[in-house]
Amino acid sequence: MRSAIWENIFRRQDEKLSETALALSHVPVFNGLSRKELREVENIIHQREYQIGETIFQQGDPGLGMYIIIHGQVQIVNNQDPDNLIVYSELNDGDFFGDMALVDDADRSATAMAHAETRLIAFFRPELKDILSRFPSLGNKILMNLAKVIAQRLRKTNDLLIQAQQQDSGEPS
Amino acid sequence: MPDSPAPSARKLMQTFMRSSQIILPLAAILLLWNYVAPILLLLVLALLVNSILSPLADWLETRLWGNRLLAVLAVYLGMILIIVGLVSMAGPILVRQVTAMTSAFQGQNLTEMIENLKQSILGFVPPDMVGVAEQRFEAMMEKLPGFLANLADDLAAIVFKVAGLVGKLVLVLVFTFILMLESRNFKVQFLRAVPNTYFELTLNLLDKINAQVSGYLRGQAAAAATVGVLSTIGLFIISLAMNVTIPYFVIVGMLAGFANLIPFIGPFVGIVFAWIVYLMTPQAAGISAVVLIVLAAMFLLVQMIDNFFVSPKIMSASVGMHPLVVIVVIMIGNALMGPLGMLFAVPAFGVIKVTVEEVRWGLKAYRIL
Repeated sequence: MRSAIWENIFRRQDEKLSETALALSHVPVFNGLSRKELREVENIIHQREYQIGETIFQQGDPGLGMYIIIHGQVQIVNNQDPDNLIVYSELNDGDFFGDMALVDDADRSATAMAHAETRLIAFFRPELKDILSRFPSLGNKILMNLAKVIAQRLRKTNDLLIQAQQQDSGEPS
Repeated sequence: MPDSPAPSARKLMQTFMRSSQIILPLAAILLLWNYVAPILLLLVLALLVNSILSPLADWLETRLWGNRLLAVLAVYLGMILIIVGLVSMAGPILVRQVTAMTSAFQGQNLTEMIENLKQSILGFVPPDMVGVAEQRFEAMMEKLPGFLANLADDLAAIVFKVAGLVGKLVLVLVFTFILMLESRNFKVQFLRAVPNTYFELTLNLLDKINAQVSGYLRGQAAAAATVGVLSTIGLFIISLAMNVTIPYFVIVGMLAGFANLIPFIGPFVGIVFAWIVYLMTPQAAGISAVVLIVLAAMFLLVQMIDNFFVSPKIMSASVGMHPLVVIVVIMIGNALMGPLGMLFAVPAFGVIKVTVEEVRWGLKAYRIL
C-alpha cells in the first residue's frame, strides 16, 4: 500500500500533466509511460475537432493511425449503402479506435463519424516511426502495449470462435 | 444522423477559419511575389538541406539524452569541421588549379595546348589519313579558342557567383537550423490549419514526400561525393603510378562527382574532361593510348563501385527518367540558369517528379481523383 507521502508525490506529478497527456496516459497503448515520455508523445500528436456528422475517416481510405476521444462521441459505421447505415459501435470519452492502422497500412475497414461535437487526439504511423527512430525505448514500450492490445483482441476472437463452433456442434458452451 | 443548421454554420465557419490560415498567407505571397520569391527559394533550399541532415540529427538526438538542440548543434559543428578541413586541405590546391586553368585557356598557352592536342590526336591516326585529319582538326579548332575562352569565363563567373552566394548560404544555414530544431512543431501547426476532410491525406502525403525526397537527395549527394572523392584519388594514383601529368585532377574529380547528378551523360563527362586535360598537357613520356584507356577504366570502375555498392544502399527512391526527358530537362536548366542550371536541373526535376507521383497516389488512394 502507498503511503500518504507517495500518494501526494504521485498526485502532484499527475497534476502537472496536461489534459491531453492525461488522456493519453489512460489509453492502453500508452500505458506505463513516464511523464517525460508522455510529454514527448504530446509534442507530436495532432488535436482535431469535429462537428456532428462529420467524417473522421472513410471506409477504404489508407489506414494511417489511431484516434483517442478526449470528449464527444464517435460512431464506427458501414456506410457503403447510404440507405442502410450499419452502426458497428459507439465510442465515448477515453475510447480509442483505428489502432490497427499503427501497425499496417491496410485500408480502413469501416467509417468513423462524429456523433456529437468531438475532440480527438490523432496518433499516426509517421509519428510512431519518428518516436521509434529517436527514442527507441519509448517506441518499444508503445509497440509492446500495441502488441498486448492486439493479443487481447485475438484471444477474445478465439474465444468467440470456439463458442460459435461449440454452438454449431450442439455442445453446451 | 443528427445535423442541425447551427452546427453546419459553425462547421462552415471553422472550415473557413482553418482554410484562411493557409489561403491568406498564400494570397499575400502571390501579391508580393517579386519580393518574396528570392526568400522563398532560400526557404525551399533550406527545406531540402533539412531533409538531408534531419536523419543525422534524429540519430544524434537519441544519443544526446533526447536533447534536440544539442543534436542540431552537433550536426552543425560536424559540418563546420568537415568544411574547414576540406577547405584547408583541398582549398589551396583547388584555387591554384582554377586560377591556372582559367589562365591556361586563354592567349598563347591555349595555342600551345591546342597544338599539343593536335599532335596527340594525329599520333593515333594512320599515316595516309594524317592530311585529311589535320584539315578536319584545324577546321574544328578554329571554333575552339572562343568556346574555351567562354568556358573559362563561365567557370570564373561561376566562382564569382559562388562567392556572391556566401551571404545567401549563411541565410540558408540559419533557416535550416531553425527548421531542424522546430520542423515537428511546424508540421503540427501546419496540419492544424488543414480542414478535417483533407487532414489524413495531407499528413500521409507530407510523410511520403518527405521520405522519398530526402532519400533521393541523400542518395544523390552521397553518390556524387563518392564519385568525386574516388575519381580524385584515382587520378592521383594514375598520375603517380604511370608517371603522367594530369593537372587540375582535383577539379576533374569534383566535376566528375557533380556530373554524376546527371544520369546517362554524367559518367562520361569525367572521362572526356580527364582525356582533354591529359592530351593538352605536354607529357615527358609522350602521349599513350594506354593512359587514355586506364583513365576511362578508372572512371568506369568508380561508376561500378557507386552503382553496385553505394547507390543501392542509399537510394530509397527510384527516379527512373527517359534519356529524352533528361536531355530536355538539362536544356531547360541551361535556359533558366546557365551551367549551374544544367547541373542541378536533373536533381530538381527528380524532386518534382517524386512529389508529383506521391500527390497523384494520395489523390487516387483517397478517391479525390
